Amino acid sequence: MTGDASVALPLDSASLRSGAVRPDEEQVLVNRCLAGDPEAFRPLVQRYQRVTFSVALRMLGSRADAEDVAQQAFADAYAALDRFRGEGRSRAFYTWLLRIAINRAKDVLKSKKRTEEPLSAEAEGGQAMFAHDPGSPEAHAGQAEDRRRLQAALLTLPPQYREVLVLKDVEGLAYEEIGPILRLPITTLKIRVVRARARMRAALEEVRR
Amino acid sequence: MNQRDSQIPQDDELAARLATLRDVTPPPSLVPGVMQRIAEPAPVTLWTWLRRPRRFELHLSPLALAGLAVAGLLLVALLARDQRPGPVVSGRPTAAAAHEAEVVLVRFVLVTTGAHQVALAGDFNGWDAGHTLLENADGRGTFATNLWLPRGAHEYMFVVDGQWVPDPTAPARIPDGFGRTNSLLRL
Repeated sequence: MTGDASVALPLDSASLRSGAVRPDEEQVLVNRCLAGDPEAFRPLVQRYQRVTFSVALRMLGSRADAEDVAQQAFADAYAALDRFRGEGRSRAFYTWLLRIAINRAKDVLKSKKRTEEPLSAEAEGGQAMFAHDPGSPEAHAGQAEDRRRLQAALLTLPPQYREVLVLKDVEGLAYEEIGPILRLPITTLKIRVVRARARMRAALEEVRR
Repeated sequence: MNQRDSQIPQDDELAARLATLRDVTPPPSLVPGVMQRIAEPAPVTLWTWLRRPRRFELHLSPLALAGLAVAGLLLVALLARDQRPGPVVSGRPTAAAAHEAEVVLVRFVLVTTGAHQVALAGDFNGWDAGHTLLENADGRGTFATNLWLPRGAHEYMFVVDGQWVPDPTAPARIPDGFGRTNSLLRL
């Protein structure tokens, strides 16, 4: 085993969100991929599969479509690794990958014109998709119902509002990270988030009725 | 409390509710699916084939390397020789350059026996009888010179030992307004 293969790879989302992932480790993996070792891409997929799948799922509402978009986003990223410029920036690969995933998801939305599609039962169905399952069965049922309403309301929003809520409120990204992903100035982004939340509240009222 | 203040707790509450959607477990088939996709060779278009970097290895002995270096130097020397400027007549541009500049090389000849000095005067040298002397090329009275002249009509005369005479072989003549005629050359 080479020294490159022994890099530490934190896989939990908490360390990812805290910025504990070292950008130089990712660059090592990217360099190995570029040198012709596709297996070096596997740790990157494992590390970012949750967030990529989550963003795609919240954008599309269908687990099957979300998995396809997530897989294609990774494949796109792999094919374009020679154009990736991490330059030591924190979470550079993460934001680059999310931009690809968001664009892929919007392509699917355009092709299927599913902006008004009702929530698919598969999006929130079953406990298998929950990473944690605390609380009583009643509490769990209440949470599941709230999640179903949230997803249903989210799917009624136009894509430009949906994407900012998914990145800002669902995934908790900073404005400074979302800006490059959506290629929007911070001021425009903040205004869009305010409007998206207002639309979301109205949509939740509609869903409750 | 104004509307903006009341909106902030609403925003925080909504953001907290939306954050519960983060808790998602991706399907187990996602990672294998990605690895399978990247393992499949992408369709190769002409453009991607041209852009793809390749590594070339060249095995050369020092002798072959020296031979290549000599061949390169010879090639450079040959190219430099080909680019050397051609002969220039009377310090004028070459024929090819003259063509581009719309000038024409003209040979003036006057055969006259017994003359000591023959000059050429015309509108192209300000009618200066001492400016352009013809050379007795064969030593037997064939006086000649070459001149680059711009395209167009030119009037001229020979001056033989101080005597102004028209060119007997001139294609045309034209009155000079003083009772004589000048030779006329159209280029």
